[in-house]
Order: sequence, then C-alpha cells, then structure tokens
Amino acid sequence: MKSHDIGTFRSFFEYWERVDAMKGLLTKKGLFIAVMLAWPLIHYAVFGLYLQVQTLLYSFQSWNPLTGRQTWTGFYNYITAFRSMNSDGVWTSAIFNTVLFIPVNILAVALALVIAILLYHKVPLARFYRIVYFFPALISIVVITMVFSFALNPTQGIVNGLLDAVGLEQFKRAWLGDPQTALISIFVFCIWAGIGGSNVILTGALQRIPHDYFEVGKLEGIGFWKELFYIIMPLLWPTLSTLIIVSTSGAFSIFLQVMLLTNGGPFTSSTTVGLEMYRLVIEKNDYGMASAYGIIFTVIGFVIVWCVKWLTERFDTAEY
Amino acid sequence: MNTTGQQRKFNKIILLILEIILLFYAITLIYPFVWMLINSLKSNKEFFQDIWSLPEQWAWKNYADAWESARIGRFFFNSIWMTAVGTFTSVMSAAMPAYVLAKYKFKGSNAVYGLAIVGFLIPSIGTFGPWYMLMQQLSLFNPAGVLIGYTGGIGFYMLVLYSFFKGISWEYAEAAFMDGAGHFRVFFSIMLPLVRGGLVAVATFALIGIWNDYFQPLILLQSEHQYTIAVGLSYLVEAQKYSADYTVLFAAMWIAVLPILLVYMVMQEKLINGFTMGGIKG
Repeated sequence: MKSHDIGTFRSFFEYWERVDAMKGLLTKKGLFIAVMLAWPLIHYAVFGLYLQVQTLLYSFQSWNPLTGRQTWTGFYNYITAFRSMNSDGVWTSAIFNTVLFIPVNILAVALALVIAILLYHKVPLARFYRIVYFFPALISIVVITMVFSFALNPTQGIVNGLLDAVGLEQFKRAWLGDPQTALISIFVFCIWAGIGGSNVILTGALQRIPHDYFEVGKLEGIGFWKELFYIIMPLLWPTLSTLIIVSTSGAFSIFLQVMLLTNGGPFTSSTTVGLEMYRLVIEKNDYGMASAYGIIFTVIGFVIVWCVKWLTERFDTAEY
Repeated sequence: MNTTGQQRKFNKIILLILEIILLFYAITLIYPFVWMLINSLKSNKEFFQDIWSLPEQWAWKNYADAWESARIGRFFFNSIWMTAVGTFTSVMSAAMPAYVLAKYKFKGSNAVYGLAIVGFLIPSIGTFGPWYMLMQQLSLFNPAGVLIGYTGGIGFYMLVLYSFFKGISWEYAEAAFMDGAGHFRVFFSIMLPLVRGGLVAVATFALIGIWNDYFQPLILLQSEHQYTIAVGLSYLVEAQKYSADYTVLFAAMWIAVLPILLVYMVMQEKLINGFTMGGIKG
C-alpha cells in the first residue's frame, strides 16, 4: 500500500471515530458547513457565474439607445466587433496597446526580481528600500496617478523643471499630452508604481530558500549570473511563474491607470481594450457590444494566459 | 590572481552603480510626495511663481479649505465608516469558507477551493456591462452596493486564511466539543482568536484596499454626500483643472494619504510578512 493510501485510510478511520464520539453533532455539522459557505457561495454564484452567463447572453442582443429595449440580434455584435478590430482606429489602437502591456508587466516582474535579489544580498538600506518601494501599492490609484501626472505637468512639473535646471530644454514636452509620449509615460508609470508588490512577494519567496544553497554556491565561487540561473530561478520558479501569469492576465483589465492619466488620449494614442469597454457601457449604454467585446477578450486573454502557463511549465523547477 | 582582482574591482563598480540606481528609484517615489507636502503649504500665487521654493508662510489654511470648502472632511468620514464596515464583513466572509475548507471534510470542498483560483485567471472587466445592469436592477447604486462588492469571500483572503487555519491543531476544537461546545462556538471563540496573526494581516490589506478603492464607489455612488475620499479626490482633480487651485488640491491629497501612511508606519513589518506568507506559490 502506498503511503498516500494509508493517509486516506487513517483519516477515514479518524473520521468514523469522531462520528462515534459525537453522534449528536453530525447533522449540526452539515448545517454549520452550509451556513458558513452560504453567503460566499451565493456571492460567487451571482457575481461570478451569473454575470459570466449574462455576458454571453447579452453579447447576442442589442439595446435600443432611446427606449432601452432589448432584442436578439444573433452574431451581429461579434461581426461588428471583428470588423472594428481591423478598421476602427480606436480599437486597433486599443488592442495594440493592450498587447504591449503584457511585456511591460512582465518587465516590471523581472525588475522586481533583480531588486529583490539585490536587497536579499544585504545592500545598505535594504529594509528602507523595501518599505519605500512597496508604498505605491498601498495608496489609492487616484493619488498615485495624480502624483505622477503632476510630476509630468508641462509647466509646473518636476520633470520639465529638472530638464530646465540641467539645460536640456529641448527635451521638455507635455509628456501625457503628446501622442508620441503618452503611452510610454503610462508604461513608465506601471513599472514605477508596480515593482513594489511583486518585489515583496519575491522577497518572501527568496527568504524561504534555505540559506545553504547560497553558501554552497559561494564555496563553488559562482558569479551573479550563474547564481541567478542555476540557484535562484529554479527555486523561485513557482512564485515567478505565478506572477508572470497574473501580470499577463492583468494586461487585459488595465484601464483605471489609463483613464486617470490620459483618458486614452491624445486622440486614441493610449487607449486600452478595458477603457473602451468601460466607455461603451458608461457613455453609450451599449451593453450588447460591451459584452461581445468582453467575451472576445476574455477568450483571447484566457488563451494567451494558458499559452504563458504552458510555457512556464516547460522550465524545470526544483523542490526544496 | 590578477584577473580575479580585476573581476572583483569590476564587480564593485557594478554594485555601486546598482546601489545608485536603487537610491534614485527610491527618491523618485518619495520626492513627489515631499514636493506636494511643501507646495500644499504655499499660497497658490507662490506656487505658480516657483515650484521649488519653500513656503514663505506656512499656509495651513489650505488644509482647512480642503477639509471644508472642498468637502474632503465629508468624504473622509464616508470613507471611515465604509472602510470599517467593509473590512469587517470582507474578512468574515473570507474567514468562514477558509475555516470549513481547512478543518472539515465534505463533498465539493476542493471545488470551492478551485473557484478561488479560477477567479484570478478570468479578467473581470469583461462582465462590466451585465454587472452595471444587475446593480441597477437590484437598486444597488448606493453605499450598500459598494459594501456587498467587498464580501466576495472566495478569493485571495480566503487562501491566506486557509493556510493559517491549516496550521492550527484540531485538538483545541476536540476538547471544546467534549465540553459540549457547538461548531459556531468553537469557530468564534476558539479558532478565530488562534489565527489572530492571519486575521490582522488580511484585515490590514482589506482596510487599505477598501480605503483606496476607486472603481466601485466611482460607479455606484451617485450623489456627492456619499462619495468616498478616493472618488471625491478624483472629482477635485477634475475641478482644479479649471480653477487651478492646486495647493488646496495637494492638501486634500495629503489628507487622503495620511491615514494609510500611519497604518503603514505602524504595521509595515506585519504587512510585508502577511504578503509574503500569502501562499502564492505555484
């Protein structure tokens, strides 16, 4: 018998022993479990499952913008959606930008890893840095985007002020108001403000690695890169791959940052899929189209996330 | 020997450059806040003359203006009661499923646990349209609707508390059962106090998350007297684009950040540890 079987057998046995001891509690136990799970399950059923099903149903319907009447329109929304994706400038830009957020988010994770390793190796002030870097993750997105956009303010901002001070006036610009730099500025924001969260998670994972691994590496005299690829990466891979997957799927729901920094502009240069879906609901009350896009991007997002998941599983991981 | 010596020197230089980059990054995070603090204490005229100077006279009046005429005080109190209620209900609705999943065997317990994982992988923005309509149909465009949104339970907080409950011996409960305590008694007066550390970590995260939440209150709160501080602040940012009363805006922002800053100062050790213990592993 495998040890696994013995385990189940034993727990089964213990279970009956307990039942014997407390027969009166048996039905009460079922009631207790039901009560404890009732609200969370209802919530999940309504805001998780029901809404997903509704999204699918809505995606085949249209709303009359004046009367609010619902009618079934078959695949009309999907056909319109796919047409818009290669002809409508708003959506081509939104899709292009959203896809770019995947490497940007992964870059933030990579930088967080490098910083976590540096801080782990007892750089002076490591504790202070960790606390400071985590701070943007803790304050409201309204405040942090406001701080960032004020730093980039064309006339009263810190960045242009500094460029003035060091004599680089030719680089001054309205960073968030210029179609050439708006999107890049948002990318910089996402990395600048986004490193801290991953950094703290990776630091925790690093601290769980038994110290001997590093000691052995040191005795063997391996360098930074070897340590990174032969010790740290395999040991951290479960955490790292989770972060990569989460940041990939996160790219599809990015829109608050964009809404607060540039509102998608100037023109459509920095808009995202999430922001355009939000606008369809809020500004046009077009629930049908919003749902069709929602289904399309949920499917695309899910496929991409699974591909990334599959890729991350190709790498060896180590047990410790 | 010579090459390793050179190597070591090279490494030292690299390390120095990296340390400078780390310091620079930290400064870019801190300085804008300090800059805003300094400028929140200037008169608006002074601010437009020179953005770098220190205030000639400390204009605490900006804070009074932000608190009263910009109505940040009102939003502040809305945020306080909603955060208090929301933190309690959201932690409880995560602790309840976490406890039964960790400590009771029943059919479908793995499925409930799986739901929490699946929730991470599906982007929620796709269902925004139907969500908006559902909230209208249930007439939840009010603080209650926002609070209900926080009671999801099956999610990240549940996974954290699950691992805390797992680590606690069942013998405490056995003893209480023998003394005739019921399941609810055991849960509330024995098991919950035993996972105090986990509850504090999760509650702190919930508190910060709810205080900062912007999206749900923005959509669901319809009248100004219901706004939370995040929503109020975002409207204030819009308004200042036209009135250009920036120094009051900076003061308002500091009022919004201060509670979080204080909580973070006191709790940073627990917070960072809570985050790292979160069982985010594969």
